[in-house]
Amino acid sequence: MTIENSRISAGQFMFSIACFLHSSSLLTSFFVIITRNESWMPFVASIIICIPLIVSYVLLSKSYPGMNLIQINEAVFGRVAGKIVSALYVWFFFTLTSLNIRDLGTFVNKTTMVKTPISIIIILFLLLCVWSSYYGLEVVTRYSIVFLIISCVILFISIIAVYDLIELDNFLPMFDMPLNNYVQVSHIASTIPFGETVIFLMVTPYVDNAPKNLMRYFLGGFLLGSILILIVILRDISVLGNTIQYFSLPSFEVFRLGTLFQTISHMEIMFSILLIVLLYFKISVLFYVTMLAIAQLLNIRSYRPILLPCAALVVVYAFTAFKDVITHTKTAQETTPFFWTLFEILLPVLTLIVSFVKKKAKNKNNRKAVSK
Amino acid sequence: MIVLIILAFIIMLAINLPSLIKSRDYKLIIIYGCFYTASFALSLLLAMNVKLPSILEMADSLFKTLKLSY
Repeated sequence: MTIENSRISAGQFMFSIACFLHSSSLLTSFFVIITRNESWMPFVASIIICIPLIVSYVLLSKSYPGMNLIQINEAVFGRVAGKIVSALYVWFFFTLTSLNIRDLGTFVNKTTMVKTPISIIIILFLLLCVWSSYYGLEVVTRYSIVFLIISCVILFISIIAVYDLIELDNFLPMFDMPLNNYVQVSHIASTIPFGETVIFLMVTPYVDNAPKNLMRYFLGGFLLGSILILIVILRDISVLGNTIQYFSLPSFEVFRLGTLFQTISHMEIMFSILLIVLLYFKISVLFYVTMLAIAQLLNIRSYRPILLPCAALVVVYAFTAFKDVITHTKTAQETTPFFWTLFEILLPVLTLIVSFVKKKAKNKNNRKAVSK
Repeated sequence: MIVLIILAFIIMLAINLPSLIKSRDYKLIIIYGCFYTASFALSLLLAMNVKLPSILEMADSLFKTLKLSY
């Protein structure tokens, strides 16, 4: 049963992944507190660790061409177990959407619209997400290339603006912390944000020329997005040094310090605009994927009628997930990496292994039947 | 706030219900009804400042009990 009829190009797919990852530069505050000026090292380690993970996602998608993650779960685990696993994924996508919309609401409330209640900000953004999801995947991902170009231009301008504040000494000392800190940050970065690209397994059947070039575009998008976040981290460390641990939004402070041509300063509004645009894109993709997953799980012909009630549920969940930002940050540093590992690493790899075993057994049976 | 929520949900019903009834897809209507009821009830509870349980905080406690945390 096809719920989504639109198709996207492989380029749109790749830039969507890159945009999705780049929007997570807000989330670097989760781990810069732990490894401070050495955060770039475990981050690079997490990029290397996640490459086989992305390869496993692509292999899983290629094993079942034309099927999204929910359909793959049912094909691999059977009807009942597949529905249970899919329900877990739906809850996971729902949680990601709620947490990200709460982050966006908090960010806009703290930096730009200080007197506006967070609920109004969240509801307005979510209505936009509902609007884009209503028209399907092609509309949701249409401007990924434009957003990415804008973000690269703003990143380049920010580096020029803080060029005279960059001190390479800020990267020292190195390997000064317990090993556990590096392991913790690698784990956090692997699960938030890299592992979240598992959501694109819901989108792979609707990409043109998949599965032929899927590996190239999935990995390409992942590497492009991760390199952009790495550049952001390197810029922040080179400017702020060890003081990076004291800021909840290090990039925001870097933009505040930057000056262009000795006249243009306090450019944090550029960072705000960039982050709002990228986070809106990320939340749109997450919300769309959640709705698609719900429709696939419940076997309904269209997700459009349930967009608004689910958006209301997202708002409620966003406010009840954590009581405050401090609890959210603490949980993200301590237990979320383990919890997300279940959905992003264990379940997909288990699905891949079971599918290989099933296919091997099927081929063996076919060969036996032919030889008889 | 409660009045605004009730108004928003009435508008939501007005937008979706006519097309749902026209489609005569009873399964979709039931599923819509479930999501609508759940979201309406939870939104009202949140507006009345009722403390709703957090699954993520419960999971956090569970993982800490299992020593699966940093």
